[in-house]
Amino acid sequence: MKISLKWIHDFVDVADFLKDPEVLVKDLTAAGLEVEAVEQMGNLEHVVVAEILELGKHPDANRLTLCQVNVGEAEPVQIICGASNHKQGDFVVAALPGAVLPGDFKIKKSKIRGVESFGMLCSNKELGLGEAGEGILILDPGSPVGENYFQWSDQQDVLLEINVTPNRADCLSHLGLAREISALMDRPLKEINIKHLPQAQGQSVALKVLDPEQCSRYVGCEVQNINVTTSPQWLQERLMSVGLNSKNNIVDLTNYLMMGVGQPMHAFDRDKLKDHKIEVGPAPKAQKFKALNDEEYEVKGGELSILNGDGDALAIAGVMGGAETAISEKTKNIFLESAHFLASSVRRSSRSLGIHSDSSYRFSRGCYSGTCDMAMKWMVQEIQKMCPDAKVTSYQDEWPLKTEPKTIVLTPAEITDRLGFDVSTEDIKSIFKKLGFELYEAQGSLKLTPPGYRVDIHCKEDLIEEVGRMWGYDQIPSILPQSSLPPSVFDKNYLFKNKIVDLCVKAGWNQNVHYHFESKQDSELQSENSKAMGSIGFQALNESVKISNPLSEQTYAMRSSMYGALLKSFVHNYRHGKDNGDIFEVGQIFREDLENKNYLENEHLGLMTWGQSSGFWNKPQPGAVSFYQLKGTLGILMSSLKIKSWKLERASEAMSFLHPLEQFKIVCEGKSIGFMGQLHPEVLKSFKINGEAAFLELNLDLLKKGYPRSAKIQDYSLSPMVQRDISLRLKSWSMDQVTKVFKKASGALFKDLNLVDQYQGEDFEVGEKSLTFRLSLQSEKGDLEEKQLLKIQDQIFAAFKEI
Amino acid sequence: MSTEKINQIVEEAKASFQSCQNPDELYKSKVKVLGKKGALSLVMQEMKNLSPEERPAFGQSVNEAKKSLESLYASLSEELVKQEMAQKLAQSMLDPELPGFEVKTGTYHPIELVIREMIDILSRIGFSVRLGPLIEHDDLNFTALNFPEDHPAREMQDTFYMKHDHVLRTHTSPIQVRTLRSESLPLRILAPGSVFRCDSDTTHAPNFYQVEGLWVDKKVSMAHLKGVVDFFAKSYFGDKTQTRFRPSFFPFTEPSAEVDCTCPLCAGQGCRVCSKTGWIEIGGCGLVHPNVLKMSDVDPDQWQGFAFGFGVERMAMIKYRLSDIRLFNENDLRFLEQFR
Repeated sequence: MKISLKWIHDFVDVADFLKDPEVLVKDLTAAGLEVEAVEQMGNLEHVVVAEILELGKHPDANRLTLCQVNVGEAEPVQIICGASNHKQGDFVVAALPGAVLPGDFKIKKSKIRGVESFGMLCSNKELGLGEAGEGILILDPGSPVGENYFQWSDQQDVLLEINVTPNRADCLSHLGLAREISALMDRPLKEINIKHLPQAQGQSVALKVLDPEQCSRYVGCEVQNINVTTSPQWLQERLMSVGLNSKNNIVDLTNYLMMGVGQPMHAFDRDKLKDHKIEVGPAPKAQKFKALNDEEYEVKGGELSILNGDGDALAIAGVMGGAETAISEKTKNIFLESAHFLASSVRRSSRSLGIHSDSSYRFSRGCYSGTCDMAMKWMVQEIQKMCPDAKVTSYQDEWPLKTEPKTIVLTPAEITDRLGFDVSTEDIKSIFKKLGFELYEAQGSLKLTPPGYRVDIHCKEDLIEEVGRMWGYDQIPSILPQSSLPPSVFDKNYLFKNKIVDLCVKAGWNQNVHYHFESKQDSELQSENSKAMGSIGFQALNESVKISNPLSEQTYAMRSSMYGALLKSFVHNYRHGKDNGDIFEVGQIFREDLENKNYLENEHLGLMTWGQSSGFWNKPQPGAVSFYQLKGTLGILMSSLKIKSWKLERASEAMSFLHPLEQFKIVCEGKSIGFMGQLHPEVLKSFKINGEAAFLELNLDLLKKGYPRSAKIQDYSLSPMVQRDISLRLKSWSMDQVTKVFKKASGALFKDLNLVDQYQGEDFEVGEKSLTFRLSLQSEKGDLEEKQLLKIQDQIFAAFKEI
Repeated sequence: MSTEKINQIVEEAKASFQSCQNPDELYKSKVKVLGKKGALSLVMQEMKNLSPEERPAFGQSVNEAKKSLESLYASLSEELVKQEMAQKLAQSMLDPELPGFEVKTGTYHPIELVIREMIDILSRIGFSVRLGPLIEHDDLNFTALNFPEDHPAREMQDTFYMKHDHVLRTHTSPIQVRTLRSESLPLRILAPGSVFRCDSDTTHAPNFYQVEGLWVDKKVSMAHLKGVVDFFAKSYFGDKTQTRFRPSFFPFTEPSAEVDCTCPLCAGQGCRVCSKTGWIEIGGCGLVHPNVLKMSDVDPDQWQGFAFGFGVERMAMIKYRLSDIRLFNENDLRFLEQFR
């Protein structure tokens, strides 16, 4: 919120801070009212009141005037001015060489089209005093020539941008902040002089509060015979300083009191109130509502409203008034509202209608019903100053529900124990007195009653914080707590995830972390593959896991697969010159559980690889490097997790984004846990990618069970290892089947079996291959004899002949 | 005759030995003379043709010849081995300017690195990790954390809404609630993870990471909280780091504070990164609000707690001096590969 120190000065003396706000800024921030920006207004040197002695035309430019100006020195100075609203004899504001205007605009002696100019005549905007009007600023005749304009005109101000936390509704006004400054700086609040109102005659507007729970107080006042005009300069300046636009005197005054004392107010055109009736309660019916801002809104019914006798909403209580009863230039008689509406009611209607106003902002954070009357009297007093003929014809104060602030009892020890530092009871009492609390001391306890406007104080902890922040959080010592605690174990899912990430990094992959979102396009692609998902052991994706209020197309839904993000990253990196890469991500994917009205989350691993590293010299098979790269990594994952039995199988349904024949489901110990394959050539083509890429996705939750498995490390034999390469020409084969034969023939001597070469001759049948396996054999007892080896070899050949 | 022959063999062998260029050649020459079928062995066979009187002298001279050749061999061999080594050391084909072979290495994402480091630091003082779902029930994300419905505090966090009264969790605090409701006290837990806010610009990502800590025990104070936060900041940013608390507001803590630490880039002297203040905001904290304990069936008269939370991206940006939060989600390998 923007705060003007000049305005604060109405309530508490801050003359010193207007000159130098540094201490105040520091102390407010330290007390929990963070000052985010400080703007010094009109504290400029070399800007003086001046009188135009002569006014002529620039010899070379029709639009420029050449002025001889008295700036309080012995000789007049010559200034060229581009405005046209000034004449000889006017009193104006001149910025002389050396002045620095807002926006770091330095004034220097200069030459404009060959004629010298020794300064600049200024407009309001150039002085940083608001929006541009017509031309330069013209002062009253007889202003003191030569005086610093800002000092003379009392235009100095300091504007603070304060981040008021949602609990401190009481600080959303100048009076509220003045109270805080008064307590912090130990300065008395100035008295506010509001005259007692003369007794009003009669009641011409019938006021009725239908729902006291939602409207605990309503002060209504009827003022007749007013003039709606532009606001006086002081009022315009006040509103402008805190960033509000001036409309007319009545509306400006309601805003003035809202910003001044924190009470949102509203003015109705009394003559437009049907039957002169005002009722406050929930809107009884759905209706269209045209608000002050000329927008039309759909009232659903139930919104707390100001109603006429027929149930039509004249205003949405605390949110915004209606266009129909708004003040216009023709308005003569008004009905003023200063009320207290329930915070949650205002918040609800503001949200459901989508109207956010300064009024709804304050009401929904919590206003104080005690201010209604004071604000109304102040308002009327100002109206009477502006419109001497104005007459108060009725003044009603309906206060059906008074809430008393709750008294809280606590001991000084409770305060110091929780804060962790010592404050004397006397100091504690002094803090609460300064903050306006009522305080009784009884049997070592303090009975504290907060002032009514402190709607945020509910419990002991709130009081402890008050002492802490007033005494200073910098007093809190730093003590590492000493306490015994039963040993605690980490979440297993966390450990498992780390293990998988570690394995992938060790295997040379680069970890990715993506948003958990899915674009509409990706989401639809995954929905298309719902059946295929189901067939490889994932939850079928019946419907996208949509976000109700997406920020953009990119946050359409929660991701249902790792594919979209990794593809995006692949394409991004490819386009930025990475013709090969290996990337992976471990993270959640989502499903909606319609039956249980819930959502399901699974931890998945995605791997994407493309191209070949330039250092990759032993290319096994052009066209499938990525695939075998993936399969190799999968093998490392499985062996590291101590999973021995896994294989690739064809799935009954194909994923549309993978090559139809080069994709497989991953079956682990009889259970399908994921899929892998080469990217579909169409996909690569659509992104203009040359070469090939492969993708793998695993549901890690299906692998977690039983993790970590026991890891028995085998003793190794001291006898020598013998290796034999055996080539077989086979029409069809599987690693499982080959291994079985080799194992059977080798018996206890079997150590390992690896494929070391493969070849397909031109005369081979489809699927037929020549394969070379390296068999490793070892005896526990000692050397192996040639005879033994030949016997094994013969058995292997014999077995394959039979097949 | 025989002695002459022996002398001749010795002279020839010596000449042959000396002409050898390397240990291999020398060895072959040696075998030619001294081997089983070498010249001297053949001479020995002539011994049987001699008279018994002649034999000892002949034998002795053969032995002497053998000895002298053996000793010559030994000295020459040592010399040649030395020469060969000297030659090897005198030449090299290696070009140190040629680049080393490309070694494939994987990298951790900076988010992962920072989360792990934070957890590593805090687990040293007894915190252990708990996880929770990213799509949370509204009740656990808000109500149970003392954000009543229709309360302005809910506006502090721009929320993504889902169906079935669910939201994308706006903080990892629901994990605190889940743990309070399911585990025995006292406890010390860390809740790391992904969170969501409906907000996106150069300093805000709609999906980012947090690490929160919760400590519940019989008696805890703001001083204990400061102790833990200090320990963390010093471990993460360096021994000289100082922290300060500023009063603030969070619905689930009371009193609440924002945590600043001395800017690690300028050691608190004031620089561009800390906007010349010397301080950098790193997170929020406070004593657990009694309403939060009550709503999780924990008696606030028996148990007290404190909680703190840090933004992972912010930690990473300070540590690695990054200025654009979007780098984390872009996953550009030119960025990621620098985290080797």
